[in-house]
Formats: sequence, structure tokens, C-alpha cells
Amino acid sequence: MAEDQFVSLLLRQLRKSGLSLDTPPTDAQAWAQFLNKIDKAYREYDEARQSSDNVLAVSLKEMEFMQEERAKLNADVLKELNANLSLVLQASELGVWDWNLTTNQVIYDQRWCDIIGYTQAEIIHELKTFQDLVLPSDLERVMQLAADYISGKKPKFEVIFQMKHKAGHWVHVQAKGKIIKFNESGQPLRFMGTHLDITEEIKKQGEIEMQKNKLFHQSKLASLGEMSAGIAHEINNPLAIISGTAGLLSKFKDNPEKFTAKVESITKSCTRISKILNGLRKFSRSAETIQLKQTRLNSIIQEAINLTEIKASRAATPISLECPENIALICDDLSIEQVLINLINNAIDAVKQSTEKWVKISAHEDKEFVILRVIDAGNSISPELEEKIFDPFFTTKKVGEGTGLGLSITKGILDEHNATISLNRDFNTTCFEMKFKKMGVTSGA
Amino acid sequence: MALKIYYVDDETDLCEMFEDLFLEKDILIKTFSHPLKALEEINLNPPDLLFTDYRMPGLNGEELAKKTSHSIKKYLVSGENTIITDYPFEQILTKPLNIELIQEIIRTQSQLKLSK
Repeated sequence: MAEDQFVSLLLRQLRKSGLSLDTPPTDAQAWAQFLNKIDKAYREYDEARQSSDNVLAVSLKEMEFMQEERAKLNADVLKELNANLSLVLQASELGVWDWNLTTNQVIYDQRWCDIIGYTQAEIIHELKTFQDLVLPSDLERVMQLAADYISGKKPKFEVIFQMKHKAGHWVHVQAKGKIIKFNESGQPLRFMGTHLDITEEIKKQGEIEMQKNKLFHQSKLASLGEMSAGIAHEINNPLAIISGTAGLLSKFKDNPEKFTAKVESITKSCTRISKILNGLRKFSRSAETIQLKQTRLNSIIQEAINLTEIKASRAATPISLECPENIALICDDLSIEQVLINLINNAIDAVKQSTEKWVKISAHEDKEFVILRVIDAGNSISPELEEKIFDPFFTTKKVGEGTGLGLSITKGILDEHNATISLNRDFNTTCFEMKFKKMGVTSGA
Repeated sequence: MALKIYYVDDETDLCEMFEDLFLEKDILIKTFSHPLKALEEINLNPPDLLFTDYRMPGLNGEELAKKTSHSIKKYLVSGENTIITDYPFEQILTKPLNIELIQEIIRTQSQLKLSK
């Protein structure tokens, strides 16, 4: 401590003790008292200074200790994180690969090997191992995507392909990766990523697809069943005319006018029957996949009406159609026919108890959409009901009258066509409105 | 006295055919393609026999039968697969028509009427 600093400290201490050099002591006793007080003040000062040094020393020590602890803790955390990471990798069943882009050496971890049935020791840790195990028809695509990512052409690397399992079967693998090391000039050095076995998911996806197709076919059969009573009636009538009139032909063999009329009546009846059967044959055909093609909307609606008008006439519910000839729709015509049959059948059922009975189908187009409406005379559907009507197995019909699948299938079909269906509440009665996004193609009739 | 038969069916071709098939001496056939018209006529001039289709717009065969006199012998003719009716029809006939069966019915009823 510097001299003057010491003096100033001492003087401050003296002032605190009520001593001042402005009024120095005058006798020996006073000097002795004065010096005593100075001594005491100094001791007090010294004590205070020492204790503060101690505090400092203690806190320094503490800090050192804490730093050590923190370092230890950090190491523990890091260790735990690493352990957790491998646990996470294990739990997520992700296999890890680490590709040295300079040497093409690739380190595959145990899980990576597990996915295709090998141990780490069994395989050579180089790129070629991977390339040899990928389904040949997938390889080019996978390597191209990797090259595009490495060169920076693509922002990320994510790809699905098949790899051959040691046992001989094929495994669906999803790979993702990221470049984790570049050199000074920005060249990628290390490319690291994961493999995930998605065989089960792909299988399930396929099963769901199959179930969906089955359900679709079942709903077709259900609407067919719904129509079958009417169909029998509708075929039996012309059949009655054919068989009865055939018996009459001989009676009128000498009356050419009447004879011709009878033959015509038979022909007309035959046409009626074959029209019904044709529609049915086309309708019941099970199409596994949706085939999009440009079709005139008018003819799809007409086909749907042909199949539903039997039910309609039995229910004394006329179906009217307003559709310009030239509206074309890119769609799977059979699916859209099914949609219309579902909606028309529902509409006929909906007006069963109404005083006014009619179903109207209208279509028009604006710049963006082809808009198709199925309107009936029934009261509009309440918003609470609207929330449920597209759910599978929801039905307001009596047991045995409806499967509850019609509208959910309808919605499914429309989803696949990128089209929407909703209730248009601008109408006083029920109006189902479908909107198909136009693909910029309209054709003449 | 001639046997009076009414045939009701919304299929006009079937009406015409019925007449062509069963019109004979001593038999009077009238056909109706609309059940409400038939109902009017039946109540004004009741026939001996009434053949009626089941599924018709406005009024079905069963309703028509119920609205007309019990003394008329009634036959239901239908192309439906199944018909559930509580009306005591003389017989339920199917479409296509069994011509011999109907001829037999008409003959029997005709003789019955003549013998009265």
C-alpha cells in the first residue's frame, strides 16, 4: 500500500475516532492518549483490512471450486447428452451413416446394419457397400439426389428406396442427411445422416389403400342393392310387354298396322332393358385405380340419372338437369358418376316426406372452377348435422336403408379429384355444391 | 251379361296389351294408365274384376283397392320382387304376366257371372 494512501486512510480513521491533528495534544498525557487512540485506530483498520482480504481469498477459492465443478458438470452433461442421443437414436430406430466425401469411406453404425440384417463387422465401411445393397432401379435416383445435395443444387437430402436384406427380402428405407463439415474454401468434407426402416408403414399404406378400394366397391354394391328393387320392377315391366306382345303377334298377322305396332313395342321394351343393364354393367365394374381423363360432364350426369331415375319415378320425384353441353371435367368418370348417384339417391330419400318432391342437378363454370350442384326440395340440413354427415357410418336413414358410407365415400372421391363438397346455404332447400378446380381445358361438345 | 274388367297400369303399352290379349265375346275391358282416373270410374261404374299394378304415381294398387267397393274381385299385378300388403286380394300375380292363368281366371269368373 502506498505511503500517502496509508496516511489518508489513517487520517480518515482518526477522524472517525474523533481525533484531529488540527488541535494537537498539549501535554505528555494527552500525547499518550492521542497515540493510543492512533494505535487503536490503526489496529481496527488493520483488522478490517485483513478480514476483507480473507473474504476475497475465500471467494477466489470458491470461484475456482465452482469453475471446476462446472467443468465437471459440463462433462457430465455432455456425457449424458451423448448417451441420451444414442438412446434417442436407438428408440427412433435410426441407423447412422457417416460418409467421408474425400475418401468415400462410410462408417455405418450397428443400427444401420441391423436394418438390413448384418453386423457391423460383416460389412465393408465404404460407399460401394451401400450402392451394392440398394435396389438397382433405385440406385441412380438416390445417388443423383445425393450429388444434387452435395453440389448445393438441392437444399436438403431426403429419399426413399429399397435395400436388400441379408435374408433376401427388400426393405423400404428412408434416408436423410446433412453435410456437417466443410473445408476453408467451402468444399463439403463430411456428409452424415440416418436410415429409417419404413417397410411397415409402406405395407400399412398399401393395406389402407386396399381397404379404401374395398370400401368404395362395397358402397357401390350398397347403392346397387338400394336400386335393385326398382331395377327388378323396371325390367319386369318391359319383359311383361315383350312376352305378352309376342303371344299376340299371331293374332295380328293379318293386320299389318297392328302387327308393326306390336313389333315396335317389343323392340322398345328390349331397348329399355338393355339400357338398364348397360348402365349396371358399367357401374358395377370394379375400377381399382382412379383414371383421370377428360370427359363431358353432361354425359356423366346423364349416366347417373339413368341409373337413379327408376328410384326417382317410384318415389314420384322428377329429376331435372341443367348443364351446358360443353363443360368438360378431367376426372375419373365412374367415380364422379358414383358421387352423383350417392347424392341423387340421398336427395330422393330426403324428399320422401316432403309435399314438394324434386331433385335438380345443375352445373356451370366460372374462371377457376366447375361447379356442380345437387339440389333437392328438402329442408336445408342443420349446421350440427352438417358436421357429421361426411363421417363414415353416420346415417339418419333407418337400419338397412343406408350404410352411412355414401357421403364419406363421396368426400373421399372428391378429395382425390382435388375437389370440395359443402352445403350451399344460399339456397332455401338442401344444396350440395361441388367445386372442381379447372385445369385450363375446356372442349367443345 | 258381359263380364266387366278394369286394368290399371301406368305403362300404357301394358294396358293396350292387356286389352289385346283378353278381349273376347262377352267380356268388356277398360284400361286406365292413371290410378286416380281409374278410381273415379270404378266408383261410378264398378267392374266385376279389377286388375291393378302396384307401383303407380299418385296412388298405389293397394291404396286403390282399399278405396273401392269390397264386392269387386281384385287382383294385384306387380313386377316387384316382394310385396307386403294387408289387403285381401283374390290373388297376387307377377309380371311378366302368366297369360294362361289370367285367361283361366277370366273364364271362371265369366262362367260364374253367366250362371247367376
